Amino acid sequence: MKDFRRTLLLTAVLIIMRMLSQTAIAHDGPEEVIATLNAAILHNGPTADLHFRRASEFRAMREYKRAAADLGYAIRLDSSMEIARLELARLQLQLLRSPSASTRGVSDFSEPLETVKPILHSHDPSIRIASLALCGEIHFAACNWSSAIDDLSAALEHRPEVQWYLWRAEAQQCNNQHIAGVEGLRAADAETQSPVIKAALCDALIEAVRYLTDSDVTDSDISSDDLIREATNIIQLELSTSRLKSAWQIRHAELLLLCDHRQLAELELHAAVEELNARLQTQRPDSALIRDHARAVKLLNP
Amino acid sequence: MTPNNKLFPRTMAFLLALHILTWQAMAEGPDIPTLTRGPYLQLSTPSSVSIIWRTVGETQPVVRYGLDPASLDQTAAASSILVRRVPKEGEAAGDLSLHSAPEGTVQYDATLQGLQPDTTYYYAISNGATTLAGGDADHFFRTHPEPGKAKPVRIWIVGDSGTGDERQAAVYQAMRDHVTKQKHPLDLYLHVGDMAYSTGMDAEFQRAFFDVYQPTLRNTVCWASMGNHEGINSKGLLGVGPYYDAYVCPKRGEAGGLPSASEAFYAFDYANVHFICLDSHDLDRAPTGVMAQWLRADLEKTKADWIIAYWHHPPYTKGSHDSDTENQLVEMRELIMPILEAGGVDLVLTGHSHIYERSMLIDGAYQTPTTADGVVLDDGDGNPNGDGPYRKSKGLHAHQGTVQVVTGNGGAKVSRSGTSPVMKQVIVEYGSTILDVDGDTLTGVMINRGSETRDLFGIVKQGSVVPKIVKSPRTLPPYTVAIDKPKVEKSGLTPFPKNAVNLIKPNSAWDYLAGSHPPEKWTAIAFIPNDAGGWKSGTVGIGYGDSDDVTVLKDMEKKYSVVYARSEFELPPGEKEKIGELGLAISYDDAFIAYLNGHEVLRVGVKEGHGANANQVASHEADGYEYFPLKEAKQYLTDDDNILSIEGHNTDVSSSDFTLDPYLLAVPRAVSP
Repeated sequence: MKDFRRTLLLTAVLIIMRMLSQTAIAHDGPEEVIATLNAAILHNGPTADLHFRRASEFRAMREYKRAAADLGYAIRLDSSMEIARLELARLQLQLLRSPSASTRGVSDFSEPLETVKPILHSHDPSIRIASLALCGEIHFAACNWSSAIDDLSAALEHRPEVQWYLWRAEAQQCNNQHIAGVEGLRAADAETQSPVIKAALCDALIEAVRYLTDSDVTDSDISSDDLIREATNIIQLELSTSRLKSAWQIRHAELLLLCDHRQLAELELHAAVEELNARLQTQRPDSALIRDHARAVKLLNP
Repeated sequence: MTPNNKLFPRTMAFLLALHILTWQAMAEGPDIPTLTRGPYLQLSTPSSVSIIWRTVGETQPVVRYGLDPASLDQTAAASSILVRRVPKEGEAAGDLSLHSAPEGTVQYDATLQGLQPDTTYYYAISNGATTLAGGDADHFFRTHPEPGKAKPVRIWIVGDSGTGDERQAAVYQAMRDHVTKQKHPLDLYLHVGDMAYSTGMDAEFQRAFFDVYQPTLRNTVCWASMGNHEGINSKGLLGVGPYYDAYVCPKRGEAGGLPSASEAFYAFDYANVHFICLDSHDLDRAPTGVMAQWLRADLEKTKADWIIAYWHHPPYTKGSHDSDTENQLVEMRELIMPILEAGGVDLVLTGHSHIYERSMLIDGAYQTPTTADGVVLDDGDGNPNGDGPYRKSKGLHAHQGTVQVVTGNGGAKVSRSGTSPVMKQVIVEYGSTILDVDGDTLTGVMINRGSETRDLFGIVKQGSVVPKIVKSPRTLPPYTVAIDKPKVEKSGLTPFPKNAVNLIKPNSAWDYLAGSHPPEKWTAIAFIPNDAGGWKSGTVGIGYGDSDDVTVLKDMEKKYSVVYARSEFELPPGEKEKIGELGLAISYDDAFIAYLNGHEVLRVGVKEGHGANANQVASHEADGYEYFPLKEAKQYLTDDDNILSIEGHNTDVSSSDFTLDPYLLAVPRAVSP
């Protein structure tokens, strides 16, 4: 009998889902979807779900303020809608980072932090972890390095996300915790094998060497030579296996310059500039290539 | 018409029957688990493959495989089979929990390793000694060839298919017919997203993806990219949801390419082709974001002959979506395309926009709005039988040109809003794309649901080609609806007369009544169609859906199924005697009745009755103007004012489109010598 009821329930759910899919606004552009949602809100009254869905469409249309307003309204209608709260906090952070906010000198990061606070202890582990990481991201954007490191470390205990490792390492560098940054990235490299982490580790090693050299820090456990050796090994392997080498040639040059091998560094930099010139042959090139080119030129002409 | 509700009763009956059978099976023997999904293939490499299936109820999973279906002499180690379940009530979801699968579902993911490259194996899955599926010639997989080795590769690409209706089925069948006819089976299947409308729930995946494509999925890996509809219940950042339950994608570079540490975006190699799949929906698309950094690194490493990238949101489209105004589309163009073209990408495949669009050979078209100025390297049609294939240098080189294909026409209602300036082909038809890569030549075709080849293009990479911007590229004309409808000349239809003149011109303004019924004598010349009666004036075609109407009836769908239209025409005294035949040219969907000066002169697709009392309306898709001689109509012509009235009918109010687009022709009477 229990099976029968379960079957009936499942069938009913499928019928409802099928009916919903018939009336769903699945195949329209965002303007049409917004119009349909407007009509639904007008005729059936506002619901958290309708406002959440409209917020997604506004976001797709780059109307971030209207999206944030809809998410706020969805939360007011249903305070248990954790995904709306998470999305609102993300959007608030995005708005704070926008060029217009920078121009206006707006930098109140407490708003997204307050938004995300109630879901930091969610029963849903994925919401909990995402909230922790978002707090870390907000602190990172606010240059609250220690808080960013703490929150991101807590999130990383549950999930090895590449972006979170990168933010934490950058926060550690900004907080003059270079060796901790390197160690974190080493662990991340072993965990994820991501080339993004590999590149960040190499950059962190170079930065750590620079820091140790510039600040005359003496740490009995860590020597610049060890860091240089580790970075060189990574770079040599990447150079030997890459089709496009400029990013690694520039890293190599930076390392060579730190070791006072200027001539060898210039050879690498010229090769990098030559390759980059071919890749920059377009009106609006990849901004990372522009940055690499500028870096190479600067190193050639200090 | 495209009856998207037509299957509803049948589908429901099927679902009910299925669940009653399932219940009966469970009731008769609760210990006999039922196979509910698969087996299907995932994550193939030169030496390994994943075989996945689901049961309701626990089983003892066994996979046997071998080089001969009659002799499956190898068995996958039990430790190589990952088991995932639906959490029990009150149980916390863990990493191996299934998201929204039916209660009692168990999913098995068997990874077979130590295989030979480029080799066909047969397999069977079992519950202990009881075979659940396979052990026959239909259940097989072919491992990838060694990467870098040139070998003919055939790839099927479909997007926005997940309706589970007859359009999706027809597109799939057309592809199967095509490859069967050519005796050239698929090697790979790429899905560019939106495979499970409308929210990407587990049951929607089952109905609109697994149930539909099972004959292909059991022997061909589907390499998927996530669409916005899957994104409602699956999250790229966390890698959770029904989408991530369904697919096993390479996170650690298992199939070639660099490890992405995410199933949301990844790369793999097949022969001399490097494939890159991106998540355009819910991940950071910024140049400094993880996905962009990984993409750069992956492009720097690959040494394949070809790079094909795919994802959901198209950088260039004017179909059901607009790439100049929508965020994901704009960002994929402005932020991601520069990385890909600096890395030497050859072809980009996308969906989201429900249309087929294919570009010229372009480079650097990153600005918003998109323009063809200064970005076209070859403005030909790319057709090997026409202007010739696009040409690029051998190997991978930055900024040598990319072809963009939007193939979101796999099942969801197709439509068009304009013409993206970089496109060379825009086809508003259901279909899918088949690619063949053979050494230095890539050939693509779009096969519509009628099994017709509707586009053909090629790219050849030989020698050294110096890319040059075409100063004034030959772009497509601006998009206008209806004006360019073709005359349909096919078997069973009367050919258009050669010497006819228009009594009522195409795309004229007609009076029309939509949403209510007129008084009885509405077809008479004496009737005055006024505003008070709800009559309006609009240019024909009148209708909605399929983007083939000038006067769009936005409120018609789900509300009413009949539209009345009238147009007057004048015949000076003495003219009617010179007419040999009257004829109606009409593009229609689904049926109509025509009246001349109050007399019915033609009835097509309406079996009986008229107006609100019309019965048994047949389905018909408007493919262009069709010609109907009005044999007995001449007798009703009068001097001076005449009135042609037409009532257009849809099969039912839920139809996804309607068109009424007539004009009137007169063939002069033959003059005796």
